[in-house]
Amino acid sequence: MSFLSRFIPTVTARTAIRFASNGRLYTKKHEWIVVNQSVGTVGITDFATEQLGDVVFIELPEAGVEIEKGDSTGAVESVKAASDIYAPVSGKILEKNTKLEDEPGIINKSPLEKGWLYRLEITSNEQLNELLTEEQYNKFKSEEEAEH
Amino acid sequence: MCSISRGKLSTVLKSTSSCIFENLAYEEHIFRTHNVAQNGEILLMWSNRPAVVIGRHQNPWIEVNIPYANKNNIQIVRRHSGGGTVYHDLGNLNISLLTTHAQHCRPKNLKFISDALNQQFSVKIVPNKRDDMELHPGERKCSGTAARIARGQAYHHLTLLVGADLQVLSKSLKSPWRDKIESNATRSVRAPAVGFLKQDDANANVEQSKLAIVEAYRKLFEESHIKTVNVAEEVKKNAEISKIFDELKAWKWIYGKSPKFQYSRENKSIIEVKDGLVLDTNQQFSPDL
Repeated sequence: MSFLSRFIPTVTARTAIRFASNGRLYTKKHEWIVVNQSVGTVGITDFATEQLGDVVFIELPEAGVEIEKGDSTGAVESVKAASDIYAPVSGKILEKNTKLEDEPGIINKSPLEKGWLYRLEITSNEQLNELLTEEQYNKFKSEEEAEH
Repeated sequence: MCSISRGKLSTVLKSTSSCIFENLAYEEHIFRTHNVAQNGEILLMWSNRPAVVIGRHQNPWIEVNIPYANKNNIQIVRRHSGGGTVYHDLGNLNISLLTTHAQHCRPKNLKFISDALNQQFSVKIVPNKRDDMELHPGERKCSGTAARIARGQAYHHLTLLVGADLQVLSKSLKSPWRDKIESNATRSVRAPAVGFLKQDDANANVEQSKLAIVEAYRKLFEESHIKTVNVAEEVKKNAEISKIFDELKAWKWIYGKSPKFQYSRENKSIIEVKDGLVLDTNQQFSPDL
């Protein structure tokens, strides 16, 4: 047990985000979610931030708020455009990334890691099956890009 | 510039209301309920009685001279789109273009609008990199732009100063407290110079501007309809639009939606404000506290 434990990294929430990129799920609105047990961490993808341009303000949901999948959970403002962001699954907000409120530019620099938006307690694992895998998301992205 | 292809169908809506709240509520309602992909794009236009309109993530105590506005019956309003603060009165034309998110292209819109106006009047309007429009010479800002994107649709709306009282405009937009507040709210970028179409062509007027823009817009589509809408009535008879109207008028939205901030009093002490309320109290913030 102690011999093996030297080789098994302690999985904290942050490490889970870094190592679980192939466990990351996506929506067609360019949000991502990484789930660790029943806690989901939500953000938007680099495709989204590239489309948005420099982000000047991020409006995030408060802890304690209950949201339904598809609800608008805040907005991102970039160059005069306010774009709504949506809940990929239903749940209760646990915390928001307050660093983004002080420094919204973090989301442009690190949308998949430091630029996480909020964490929520998810209510239904089944809803995760409705989301896209990385492969499906990449395919969807290239189809969208062709449209522009 | 973004791809040229436009849709096949559009509708032009001319509002008869001169109330900023009614028009913004109607605009937001169409944005939420009109399916562009199925039913075509929309161009909505209106003019309203004097108002100062701040962007979604702004702070009215920073952006607006609130005592001056209240004394002069200038309404203070927060819109749903981003961007900075603008002054509107009946000499201003508001233009709102509803499209799919994919077809949302502000430079393209500004080009057809400025081309139409430059042809109609002896003016030289040029869009700039900030998506403002300026009268040349002098680069006088005569139009500001903002946008809202959600649910695969988007609107680009803009002001157009045809006639304006620049003194009232400038006074309304200069808050006495702007240096006393620390906040992450988005700040307006002051234009070095402001102008209006009548400065360069005394014949310019809102009605003809509307006609020129509508004509140019309709040429972009295979099929286009024009409707005059009694927006005041639509607001009254439609429960959803009424709800948006009520929300827009509420203190909670106009003032309470300001991102958290710190206000420095004369005696150097600091008041912290969140959701428009003094922190940990139910008291609405006011610089008189």
